[in-house]
Amino acid sequence: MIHVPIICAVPAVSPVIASAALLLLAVVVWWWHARHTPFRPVLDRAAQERALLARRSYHVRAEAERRAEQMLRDILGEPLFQQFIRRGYLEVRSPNFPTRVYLVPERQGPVTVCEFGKPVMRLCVQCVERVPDYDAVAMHKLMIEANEQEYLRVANRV
Amino acid sequence: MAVLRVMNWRGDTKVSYDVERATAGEVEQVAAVEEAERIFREERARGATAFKVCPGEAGVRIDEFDTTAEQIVLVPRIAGG
Repeated sequence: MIHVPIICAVPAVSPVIASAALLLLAVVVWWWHARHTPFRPVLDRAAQERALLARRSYHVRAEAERRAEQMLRDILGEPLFQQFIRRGYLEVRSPNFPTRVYLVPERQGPVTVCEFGKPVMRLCVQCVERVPDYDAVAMHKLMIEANEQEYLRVANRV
Repeated sequence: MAVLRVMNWRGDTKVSYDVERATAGEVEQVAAVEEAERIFREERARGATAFKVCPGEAGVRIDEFDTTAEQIVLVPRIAGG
């Protein structure tokens, strides 16, 4: 309201141009507001709470995965971690059986046991607490290398 | 600077402490070392297995809190799947 007389007071600007400028400004403000206001469908309270929990849960899981990845990186060292990412599994040599290699998958699942380079069995071992996938990889590596007998005692063949 | 890591559903909980500074009498670091030892004992009592870890090397299982370890990882109890 204040700007109109000021713009009109400038002799070179006609009222038509000033009106067009105001209209353009209004459109830009409307567009800016629409762009920065997220679309929120009308949900009942329970659905809104579920959606909030899902969002929080996603963020917590993503953060957990990020931390687990960092820990695995620290345990393996960068070259071995890169090799693990490329292959999709981690090769862990048995400290007690020279011909044996354990292949630990990137995602939680059975560990393949190879003898003389050939798969001979699959073992299922997991933490009793829920842990991210990369933490499970670290668990397999540490248990096999430092506590293989206990690992084999607990493991189920699948 | 040493670190104690406890695996859990949040990734891991980390406690950093400096044994040298704690030995020199720095109150904050003494408290940090005590806290790390307390967590270590609690987790071991819950069935966790502790490993002394050096990057790129095989982990070493430990039963007592090792102040010389650069990194200790506590793995929760495992079971057959």
